[in-house]
Amino acid sequence: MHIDGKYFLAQSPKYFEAKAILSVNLIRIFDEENNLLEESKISKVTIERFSNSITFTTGSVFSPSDIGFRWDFEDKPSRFFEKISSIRSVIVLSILLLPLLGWFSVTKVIPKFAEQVAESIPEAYVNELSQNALARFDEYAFEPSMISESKQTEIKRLMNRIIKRLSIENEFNLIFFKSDLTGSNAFALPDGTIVITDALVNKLEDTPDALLAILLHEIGHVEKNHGLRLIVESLGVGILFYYIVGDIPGLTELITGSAFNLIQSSFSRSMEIEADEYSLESLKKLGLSSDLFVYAMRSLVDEDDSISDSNILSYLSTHPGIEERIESAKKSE
Amino acid sequence: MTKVSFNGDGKEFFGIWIVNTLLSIVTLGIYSPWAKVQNTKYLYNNLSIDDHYFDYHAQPIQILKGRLIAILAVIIFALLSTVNETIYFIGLVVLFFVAPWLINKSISFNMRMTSYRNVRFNFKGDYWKTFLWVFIAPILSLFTLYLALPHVLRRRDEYMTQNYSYGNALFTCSMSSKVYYKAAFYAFGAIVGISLLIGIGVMITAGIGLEVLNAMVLLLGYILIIAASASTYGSVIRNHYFQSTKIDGVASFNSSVEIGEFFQLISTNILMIIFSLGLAVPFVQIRSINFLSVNTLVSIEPKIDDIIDDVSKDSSALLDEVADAFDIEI
Repeated sequence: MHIDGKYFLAQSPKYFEAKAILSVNLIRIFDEENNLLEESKISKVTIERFSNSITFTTGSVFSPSDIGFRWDFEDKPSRFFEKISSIRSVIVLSILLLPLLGWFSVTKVIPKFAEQVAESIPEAYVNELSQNALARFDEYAFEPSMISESKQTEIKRLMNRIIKRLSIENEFNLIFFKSDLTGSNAFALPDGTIVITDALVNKLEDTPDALLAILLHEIGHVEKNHGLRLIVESLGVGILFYYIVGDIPGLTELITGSAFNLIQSSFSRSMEIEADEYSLESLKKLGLSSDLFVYAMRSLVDEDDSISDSNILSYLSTHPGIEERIESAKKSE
Repeated sequence: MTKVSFNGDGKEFFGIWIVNTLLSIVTLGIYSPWAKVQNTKYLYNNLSIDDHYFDYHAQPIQILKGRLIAILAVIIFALLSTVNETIYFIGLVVLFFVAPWLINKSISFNMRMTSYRNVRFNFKGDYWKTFLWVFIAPILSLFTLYLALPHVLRRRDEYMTQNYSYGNALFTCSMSSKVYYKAAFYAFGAIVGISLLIGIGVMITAGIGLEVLNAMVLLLGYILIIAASASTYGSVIRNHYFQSTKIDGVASFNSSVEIGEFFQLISTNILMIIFSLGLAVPFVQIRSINFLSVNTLVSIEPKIDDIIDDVSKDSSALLDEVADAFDIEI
């Protein structure tokens, strides 16, 4: 058996039409007049992965004319991957599995991984990060709180009491701000700082226990390490996308933007749900009704009708629709 | 002159691509360098001039190392910069000055991994010239309200090409700013024209009160703008570029891409990708290369035999792969 191809001199585009003949452990290259051009032990030649060009120790190269041709003595693993990509059933299976596995790694594997990484991030870093974020909010969005000292202390005491009763180990620090930008709102920073706006305090003035439900939601974010997990997850997905989609020229711009945003909002959606669950569970432990949570959510709805549910919008938003959250709270009873 | 021939088959490439993409995801990206090498090799090996095909020689394991180091650098920078704005700022400045070097290294790596007739290509960029033509000059052209930009782009393309080599033979390239202005004018005209049409379209659909239709008109307009500007600018510049580039005594080139056909290709490519949710990517790549190769002519002259491949085949220079991992393309 012989293989037709071209024989190139070392470091040169000069070539001869040639054929390769294999014997047990030798490869010989002949030109068209059957003159021997090169002879080598098979074990001495090199073949690149996914390729059939043979490089001899002399630097000369034999390239078979048929690019699909593969040598029998070639490196096994890469031939395996080449072979399976031409099998129809493997291809069909891949088409089916691709979205599934993509979804699985984005929703399960990366979050799991992020959870591990987030836990190992040093505390000093977390504190610095949180205080920086707070300073920026303070600069751009916040004004000093108008809530009276005594009221603030009262709420702080309330929070500390439940923290003790739930035997939570992390430390929390409650801060009050007035903000026209964010309206009635509360959020948590990874180091345990919980920020609450005057508008929210005023709205729930008569029902301190409903305020508790919201505080528990924010405590849930900190306890579950959500802030850090979100950062690590975004980074992980970003890198994965960059190299998988990025290998396809021109496609990156088209896909990364929209898909990336969708995934990120799905991350934070699932975190909101987790924090809701945490709040509901804690209320139960404290012997309080989950109605408090429902009530707190309702009061958020009243303020701003524009965040009431629309099916498409709730799918795209970072927070689950409020009606949806109320529904699951009712179910949990 | 002979035509560039491309024998890539959409179905065959789809099989390779989908299995590779799956493996890349399953391994959380570890397999992606192998995928890249196999995909690229398939495309290069099927591209031939005068019965000789191109080849791609990067080694997956080297690409993987480069990527891991690049990722590490990005993570460290991302973590540090969220803590401290000064670090973020310093990082940006450092990146600005490292970028020309990264670009040079990255292009050089990709060229050295490419061969035709057993001879490697190469790129030897000059740090300051890359800095000037890729960063400084385009920024400065802002002060001319971008009126100088076509001229800058011409000088940039010329500079880049003149530093490409095939073995020990340098490419030469001398182009005309006039053609760049013409191309920019066409692209600008296409953008303005289509924007006006979309504006009218949106006003009509908004008037009827159909929000869904409105969004569709906008998306369609967006695709049209990309396709129109890319095809007008792309075809005029590509044709001019190929006609103005050669390797003295070794090879000369010609390109005859028509705006209309190019527009059709790009717009259908985008639609194919959108409606297949990305699955059409391999087909899009094959048909694009097919289209471009049909419209490209190359004349290889006998003096090619005198060329010596003096390009270092060493693909283990780690820094090159790290630079390549940042994948900066101009």
